[in-house]
Amino acid sequence: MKKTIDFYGNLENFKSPSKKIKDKNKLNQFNIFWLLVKTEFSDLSFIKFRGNIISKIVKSFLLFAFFAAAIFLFRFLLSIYATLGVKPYYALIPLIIIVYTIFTISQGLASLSTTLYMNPKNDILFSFPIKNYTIYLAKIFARYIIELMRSALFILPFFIALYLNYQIFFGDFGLYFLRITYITFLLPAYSIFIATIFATVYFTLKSLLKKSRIATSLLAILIIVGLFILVYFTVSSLITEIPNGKKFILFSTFEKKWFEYNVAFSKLFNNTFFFRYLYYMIFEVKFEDVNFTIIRHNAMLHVLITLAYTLIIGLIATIISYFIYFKLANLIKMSNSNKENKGNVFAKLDGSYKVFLFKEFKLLFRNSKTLSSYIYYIFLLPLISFTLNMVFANLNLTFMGARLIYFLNIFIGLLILTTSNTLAATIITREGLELPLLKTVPGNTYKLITAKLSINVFLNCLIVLLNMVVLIVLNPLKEQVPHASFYITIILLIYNLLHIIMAAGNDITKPEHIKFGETKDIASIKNVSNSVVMGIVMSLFVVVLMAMVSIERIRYSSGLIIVLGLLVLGFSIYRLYQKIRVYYVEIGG
Amino acid sequence: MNKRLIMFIILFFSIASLVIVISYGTKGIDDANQENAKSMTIYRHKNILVNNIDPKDFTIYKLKENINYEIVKVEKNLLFYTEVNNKIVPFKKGSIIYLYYLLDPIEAINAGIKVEIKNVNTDAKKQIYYDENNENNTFFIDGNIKFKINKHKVYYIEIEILNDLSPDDEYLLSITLENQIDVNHDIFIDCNPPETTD
Repeated sequence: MKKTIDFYGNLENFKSPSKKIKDKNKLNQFNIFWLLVKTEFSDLSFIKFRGNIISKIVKSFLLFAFFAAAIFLFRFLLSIYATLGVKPYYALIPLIIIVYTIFTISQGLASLSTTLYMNPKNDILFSFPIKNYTIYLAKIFARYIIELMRSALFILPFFIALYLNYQIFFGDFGLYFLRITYITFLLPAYSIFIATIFATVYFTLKSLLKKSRIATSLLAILIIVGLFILVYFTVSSLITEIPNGKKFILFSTFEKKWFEYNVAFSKLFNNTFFFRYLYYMIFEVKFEDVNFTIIRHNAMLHVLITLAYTLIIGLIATIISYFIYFKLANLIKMSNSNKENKGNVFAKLDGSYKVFLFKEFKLLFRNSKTLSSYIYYIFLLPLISFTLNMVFANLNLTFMGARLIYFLNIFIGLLILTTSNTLAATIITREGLELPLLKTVPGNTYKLITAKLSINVFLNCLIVLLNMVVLIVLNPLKEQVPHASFYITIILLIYNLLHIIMAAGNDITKPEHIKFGETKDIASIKNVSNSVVMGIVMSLFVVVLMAMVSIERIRYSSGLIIVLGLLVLGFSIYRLYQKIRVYYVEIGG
Repeated sequence: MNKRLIMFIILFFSIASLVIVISYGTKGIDDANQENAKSMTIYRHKNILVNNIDPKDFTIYKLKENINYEIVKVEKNLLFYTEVNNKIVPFKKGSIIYLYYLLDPIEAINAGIKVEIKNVNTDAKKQIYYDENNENNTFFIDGNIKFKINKHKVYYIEIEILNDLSPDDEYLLSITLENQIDVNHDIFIDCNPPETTD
C-alpha cells in the first residue's frame, strides 16, 4: 500500500491514538480565516475587553458612558447647527454620511493597500496551503469589523441624537432604531468594498511616489497651493463691499452662503443613487418644502435597493481582486533600492560642523515620506495664518479686537512652531541604538549638537519668514498696530529658539535612545510629549504675560517680552552647553 | 505624542481664536462710519426662512439714544440680515423708522406678527398686532415714541421718535411671529419713507 504524508506530517494510513484530536484541530479554511481575522485586530485594542470580570464591567460601563456622552455632544452640536438657520436634514445628515464614507474609504485605502500588498507576512501566508480567497476575505472582513466598531461608536449616537432633537420626522423609535442599525452595518461594508476596488490604484500610485522624491514634493506643493487657493476663494466669497467702498465680512453674507451651500449639497446628495435611498430611509414620511424633498417608499424597498447595490460593489471588488490582487500579491518582492556609490561626500567637506550639518540635511531629504512631511510642516503655519488673517483683515475691529488678533497671532504661531519641535526634542533619542557609534566620531561635541539644532532652527526660521510674508501681505492690523508683523516675527523667533534649546536640553539630560532604537516609534517618546506640553505652556505664558504688562500699549509690552526672551535665551544657551559638557559623556555608555 | 492629537490641538485653538475675535473683537459696520454721519439710513433685511423656525420671539432690537446696531439678538433661528449704509445720524427727535413686512396682508395676519415696544427702565410697553382691521392703530410710549400701523399701506409700521432720548432711556423693540407660515419672505427696517406715501 502506498503511504503518503499529509501537510502535518501524518502518515495517511497510520493510526495514531491521538488521530481524532488532531483531526479536530486540523485547520480547515474557516479556522484559518478566523485566525487571520484575529491577527488583523490590533487596531481594535481600544475596545478590547481583557482582564478579569471587574475590569470587563468597568470597561463596559466606560463604553456605555462614551456612547451616552457622544449622544449628548451630538445633541448639543445639532442645536448649535440649527441656530445658523438651516435644519440638519437639509445637508448635515448627508454630510455626516458622506464624510464618514470618505473617511472610511481613505482609511480603508491606506490600511488595505498595506495589509493586502505591503505586509511582509503576505509572502509567508501565500506559501502556506491556504486558499488565496481565504486570505483576501479575512483581510477585508477584519477591516470591516474595525470600521463597524467605529460606525457603531459615532454614526449610531449621531442618529440617536438626531431622533431626540427632531423626532417628528422619524416616527416610532423601535422602527427608526432598526433602520439606523441597518445603515450602521451597511455603510462600512459599502465603504470597504469601494476601498478594495481602489486599493490597487492607490498602492500603485503610492509605490510610484515613493520612488520619486521630486514627484512627491511636487504633489505636496500642489496640495498646499490648492489649499491656499481654496481658502482664498472661500473667504473672498464672504466679503461684501459696502457702499463707501470698504470691505467687510458680514454675518448675514455668511448665513446666506451657508444656506446656499447647504441647499446645493442637499440637491447633489439627492441625485446620488445609493445615498439617496439610504438617506430617505432614515425618515418615516414623505415631505417637501421649498428647497428640499424626501421621497419615502416602503422601507423594504430601500433596504433591497441599498443592499443589492452594496453587494454589486462587493462583487466588482472581488472580481477585480481576483484578477489583480492575487497575481500582484504573488509578484511583489522586496526590491533593493538603487544605492549609487557617489564616493565619500564627507571627505570633500572640511570642518566637522559642516560634516555633521550635511549628515542632518541628508536625513531630512532621505526619502519621499520625510520630505513630503517636512513640506507640509513648513507650510502649516503660513496656511493657518493665511486663513485666520484673511478673515481678521475683513472684520470691523474694536480696539480690543485688534489686540486680540495681535496676541492670538503670537499664540497660534508659537503653538504650531513649538509643538512641531520634535527634531530638537529627540536630538539624542533619534540616534537610537547607533548613539555609541556616533560618539566614536572624532569631532567636537558642541559642533555635533549645534549642527543637529541648526536644522530645526533653519526650518523654523523659514516658517516664521513665510508667516511674516503672509502677515505683511494681508496686514490685518495696519491701522491699529503699525509694524505688527515685524514684532510678531521677532517674538516668534526668540521664543521658538528658546523652546528648541529647552527641548534639546531636556533630551540631552534624559535621552530615550534605547527605547527609540527598539520601537522606532517617535510618538511614544516621553521627551516629545514633554516638549509639546512645554510648547503649549510657553505659548500661553508669553501671551498672558504680554496682556498683563499692557493691553493698550502693544509696543511697550512687545519690547519688554522681547528683552525678557533674549535674556532667558542667552541663559538657556549657556545652560545647554553646560548640559552637553556634563551629560554627553555619560549617555549611551 | 500622537501627530493627530497635536493637529487637533492646533486646529482647536485656531478655530477658538476665530470665534474669540468675532465674538469679542468686532463691532457693527455703522459705528465705523459714525464720524461722517449726516442722515440715518439703516437698511436691515432678512430673507427669513419662516418655514424653518418655531413661531416664537425671534429678535430684540435695542433702541437707545443712538440705535446700537450691534445688538441684534438671534433667537430661535430667526434673525435680521444686517447690511447697513454708510450714513447715520443719532437717533434723535423726528427720526422715523419704517418697519416693512414684505408679506401680503393676509399672510401677515396669518403669521400673527406682533410688534412690541417696551421701556426697559419703567417696564411700560405697548403692542401692535398686524391686523388690517385694527382701529386703534397708534400708540405712544412715555410721550417719547409713537408707533403706528399705516392704515393705507398696511405692510409697514412707523416708529417715530418724538423727543430726544437721554442715554438712560432704553427701549426694546421686539417682533414676534405667533404662528408658523410656510413661505419665504423678507422683513426689513428702513429709515427711508416708502416711495409712495399717504
